Amino acid sequence: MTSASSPREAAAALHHVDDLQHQTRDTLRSFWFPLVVFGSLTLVSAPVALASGGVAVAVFWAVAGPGGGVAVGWYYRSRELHLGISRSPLPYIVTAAAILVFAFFLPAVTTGRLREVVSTFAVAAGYLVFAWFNRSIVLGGLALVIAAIPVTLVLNDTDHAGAIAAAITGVAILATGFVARSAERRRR
Amino acid sequence: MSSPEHPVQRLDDIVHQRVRLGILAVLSEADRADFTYLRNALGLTDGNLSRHLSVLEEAGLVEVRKIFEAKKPRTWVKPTSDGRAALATEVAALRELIDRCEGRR
Repeated sequence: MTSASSPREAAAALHHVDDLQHQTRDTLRSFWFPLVVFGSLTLVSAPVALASGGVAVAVFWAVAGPGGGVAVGWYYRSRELHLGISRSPLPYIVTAAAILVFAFFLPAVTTGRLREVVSTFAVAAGYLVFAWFNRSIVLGGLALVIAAIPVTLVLNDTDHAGAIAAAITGVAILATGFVARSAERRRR
Repeated sequence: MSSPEHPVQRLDDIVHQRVRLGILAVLSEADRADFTYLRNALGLTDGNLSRHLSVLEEAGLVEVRKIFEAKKPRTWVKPTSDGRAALATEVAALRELIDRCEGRR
């Protein structure tokens, strides 16, 4: 493959590149830990929303969000040292920060029942971006499920919609995390 | 309309080599990879990988950093923007070559 290529050599070279890229993506793909961490935090935020309302939830996430981020950072750093390969964390950090910012500010520009659950749309959009980064249908499906939760609650005019949205979203994220973990173990 | 330049002319001798193409392909999906990972992923010997990394480093397509982590020496390899661009150019040229020969262009 050092001289001019024939179409057959070119096809073999492209196949070689595709194979290695696919294998590398498979090695790098691991998102069960952040799902378990943020699923648990979302679940914990439900009773906070029920007992103390929106401001308490904002304070909760102001502390828990960066805390969860540090835990996830530690996990990926350990993985990098173990595997000897890593992705840049920057796109993930920017997306997570955008989720937090939109989740804080979207309630300020909405009213009524929607105001209680609008932050969930920011979470769904964030997971869609994570799905794109990981080329993951599972994460894409999770994003759609998360987006459907506030729509259903608002359409049914459900009481305590914020707390219920947080509880269901937390369970959905947590369950996806455990499914992803067992899938990852089977892959190894 | 066909391109005035034949795609074979865009194949870079440095990149158009199975091992070096493999190194750039792995690094295109990662921020960085260490020497051991690359050696195992590509099924190479230490000497063989070193030689090819030197060629890529001299061409400015990868950066090689030797550091101590947890008191152990470790060699990290990172693609440069030129390295990522060189792989993209190579892949595009290979695709175009196949297309031309299949009569799509």
